[in-house]
Amino acid sequence: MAEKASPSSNSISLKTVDGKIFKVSPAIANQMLTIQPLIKDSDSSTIISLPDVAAFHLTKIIEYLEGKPAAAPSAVDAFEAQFVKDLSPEELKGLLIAVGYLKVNGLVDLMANTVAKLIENKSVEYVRKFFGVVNDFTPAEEAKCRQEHAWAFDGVDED
Amino acid sequence: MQSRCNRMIEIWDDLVGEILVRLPVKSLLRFKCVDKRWNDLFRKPTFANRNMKIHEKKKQRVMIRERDGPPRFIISENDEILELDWQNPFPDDRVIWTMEFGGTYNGIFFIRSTNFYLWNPTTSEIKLIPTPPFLDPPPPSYTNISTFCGFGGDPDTSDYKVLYIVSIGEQIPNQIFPDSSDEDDDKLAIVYTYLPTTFELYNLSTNSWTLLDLVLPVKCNTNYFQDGFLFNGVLHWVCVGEKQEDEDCILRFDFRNNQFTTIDLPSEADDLSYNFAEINDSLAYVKNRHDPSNWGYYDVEIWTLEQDTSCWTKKHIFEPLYDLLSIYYFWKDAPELLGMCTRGNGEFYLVSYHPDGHIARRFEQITLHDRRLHDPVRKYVQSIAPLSLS
Repeated sequence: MAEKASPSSNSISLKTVDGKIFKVSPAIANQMLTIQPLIKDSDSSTIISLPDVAAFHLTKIIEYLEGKPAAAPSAVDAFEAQFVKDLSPEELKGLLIAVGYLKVNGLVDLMANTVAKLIENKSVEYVRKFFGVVNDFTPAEEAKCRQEHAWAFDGVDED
Repeated sequence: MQSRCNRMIEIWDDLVGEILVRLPVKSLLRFKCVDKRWNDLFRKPTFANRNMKIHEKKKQRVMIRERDGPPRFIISENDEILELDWQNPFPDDRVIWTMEFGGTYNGIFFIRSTNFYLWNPTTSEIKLIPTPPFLDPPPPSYTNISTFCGFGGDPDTSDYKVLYIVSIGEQIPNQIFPDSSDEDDDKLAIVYTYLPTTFELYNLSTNSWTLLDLVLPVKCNTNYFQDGFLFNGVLHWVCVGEKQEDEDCILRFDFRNNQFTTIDLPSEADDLSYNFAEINDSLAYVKNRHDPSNWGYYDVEIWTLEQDTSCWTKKHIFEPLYDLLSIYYFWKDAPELLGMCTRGNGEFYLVSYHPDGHIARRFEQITLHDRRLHDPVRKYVQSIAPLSLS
């Protein structure tokens, strides 16, 4: 996974699936638990490839890891709200996968909470599509399941 | 070596689980229909338990049993009233009119009524508890029998349990008319001392009762018993010594090992009209004491038990509170309490008091019963935990 690059400062080079190289400080890289063991063995010329992370997602992750410690303790909630505010459902999903793959400290919680909020009032059809789940109920089984708690289907958002 | 694709599937499954466990129960009940794996996941005790804990942390709530009719209201810690989305799951209306909250544990209510039920108000699921063996067949006479229950479970498992205690009254010598030879006088002055003799335990996981072969560590008279107060998997009762010279104490039943133990009462707590409560994760022993020099005001005396010790500490949290006739519930983080006030016309309603003594909110629309044996205010947490075995 690690390839050699030209020597520079003690920053870590991360290469995304779309070929972009990001230089980050060890303090930032260490918060991505998945690559932690690779950092230990790497020197300044190492490039760590991230086959499941796109440049857009890595930019967001670095923004989070740099921005959160800079925010005052009372401003962390506002920072996190701002961080996810303009993400589309598809971007949320992509970022969630990147964050889950890299195991980014604190960000898994924020992403899970954000997606939970997004789907809370959505229909069964919406979440099947969102999570790529194939319905394996027979029509009769599904009808019975919906009947059991019919009130839970009140007040659902339009897809 | 694990393939990259499998690893990504695993990561994705974990992430989906992390998202779902954060959803409110209403969403989960809808998403049960997404596919069979989700349906199975939501039935897992570990999932249900974590989901409940996440929501419990967000906002504390209590459910109120009013004087009449089905439970209608839920109050949250900021004194907001929510109407319960009431779906009557009970087989007949008599249950609703006679139901009492015998206890709550992990979102499940133990209902005492024409029968015993477990009720999950969030999913509207109920479970009829079989008749305790002691009552099946019923004893020929109930005159000298008193019974108590306690509801809860072992926090380390996902099971729910009910302890059923039967006390038999033994006639004690007539001390009022010791020399009376007249039979009618004797009848007037029959006094019993109630001693627990039979202990039966119901487990939801087996849906059956077991007779427990137990002897109490103290001889106690259950005259003053109510249903046990559950704290951290342990039921608590105030236990009055059988004879005058016996020490009063607190009797405890631990659902983890099904054993009784005792601890001392706070030594300065000078009578038995205290209630148990939970205050900031500690067991508390509380009393509203009328202040004769400050008419209409009550001092709230609070003793809390230091964790894992038998050390009681007196806490001063509240200034004297006006018209506080009963104490029901302490909110955890904002230390307000819910209690009962009177309108002065024989009606009683719920009030929220602030520690500085002022009334934070009067819930005038919630009429309480002044003499309910069972606490009408109970902690409510949303739980998707199923009561059925399948």
